[in-house]
Amino acid sequence: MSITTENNEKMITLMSSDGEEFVVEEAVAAQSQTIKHLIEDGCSTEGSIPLPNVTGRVLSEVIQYCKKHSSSDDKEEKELEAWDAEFVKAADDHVALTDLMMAANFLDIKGLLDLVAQTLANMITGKSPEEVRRMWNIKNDFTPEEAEKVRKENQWAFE
Amino acid sequence: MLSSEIQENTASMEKKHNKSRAPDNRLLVDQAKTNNTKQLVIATNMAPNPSYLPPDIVEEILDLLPNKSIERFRSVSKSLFSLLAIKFNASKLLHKPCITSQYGMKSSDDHDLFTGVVLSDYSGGHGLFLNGALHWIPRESSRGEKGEIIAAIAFDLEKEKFHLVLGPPTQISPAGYVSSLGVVGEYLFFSRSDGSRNIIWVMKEYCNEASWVPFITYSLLQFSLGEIEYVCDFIPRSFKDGRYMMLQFPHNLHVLKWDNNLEESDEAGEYSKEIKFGRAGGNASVPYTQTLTSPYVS
Repeated sequence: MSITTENNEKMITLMSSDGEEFVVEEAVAAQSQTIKHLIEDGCSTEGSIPLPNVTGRVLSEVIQYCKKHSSSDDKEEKELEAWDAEFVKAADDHVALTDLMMAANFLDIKGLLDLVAQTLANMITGKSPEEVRRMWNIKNDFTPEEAEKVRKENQWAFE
Repeated sequence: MLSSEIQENTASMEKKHNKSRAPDNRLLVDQAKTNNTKQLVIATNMAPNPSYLPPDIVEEILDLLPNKSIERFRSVSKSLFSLLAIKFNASKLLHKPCITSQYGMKSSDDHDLFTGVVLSDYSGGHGLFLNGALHWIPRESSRGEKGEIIAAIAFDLEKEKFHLVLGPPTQISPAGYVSSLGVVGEYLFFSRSDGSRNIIWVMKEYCNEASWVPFITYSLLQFSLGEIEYVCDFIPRSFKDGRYMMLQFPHNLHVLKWDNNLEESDEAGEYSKEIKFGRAGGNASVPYTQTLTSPYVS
């Protein structure tokens, strides 16, 4: 469905997995390569673009990012960096960041993907395997013997 | 953002799918954000299910971690263990290098003019300088199970830290396995010989191991007369009129010239052509650059 605003900017409607709709300028939505391709293929002319992998909460964050990055030009690089830093800080914890990263991956927004990946990497760099397991609810499927073997091999990394 | 709001597991996401609420709340984004948060609250105590963390996502994060963390996280789970296998093999090399001596020169105002490090167990005595770091090829004792070279070891002169530059994808053949490194401009080259052919790879983007592309492929038998030859050394160089590559075979020397658009070269040898074929004994060649004090060679 395309709606046109006063300044003749073409609008695109995005629908999240939970049925929430977001009306954004085409230039903003096209920050996502996935959506850009859908628009190019004419998938946006009728109804909204469904994004079955992204919840409304995550999508609204993604759109915030895209809005900022489509309205800023290169001159504002410093300011944009500061904005990015605040943006990931607001995402608060690794669960939110992981959701955001999966959305960025699905929507193919490289800048956002890199930003969140770096934030998560910084977050886990100094963590122990146990902490990492807890973060992502990963089951430790090593037997005690296997675990000991791996640990011995990697002893230097634990020091 | 409340943590209870964002802790949704995949099961409940599916539930929401099936609910198919009528999409009647068409709002502009900023309003949507404030109005709809309530509807999204799903309180569970579960973190996201790891099976929904796609490997490419995990890898994206792992790529940014230092080797020490990568190695430590191998003990997290079996799937991470195998995902990290390649990276682990590479990081294993970090046991090996140790600086046996370090030397430098300082200017009168205490600026480093020159720094050098000598590594133990690394071949090719002098490192190749690229991107602020010196690069070496590991010796056999530091290589993979079949003697393949997984990575070049690099020493960042500013940070004084080691890192690894993963080499091009390996295709291991039981025959002789020879590798060497080269640098032209901002590019790292990696020469690999598997006994039947020699591929010289170029890393189009420094430290991005996905950016290795074959640059020149030599079928080694092509040049042999009864015996198999291999590239024992290669020396890429930039000169005014373009970039050249000297390929040193045990009994031959080849000089290739290529156009400068390396970035475009996806096909092996596409931009290279042989400009000279000569015979040179020995196994070391160096490019000659004429200077004001050098003898005139026509």
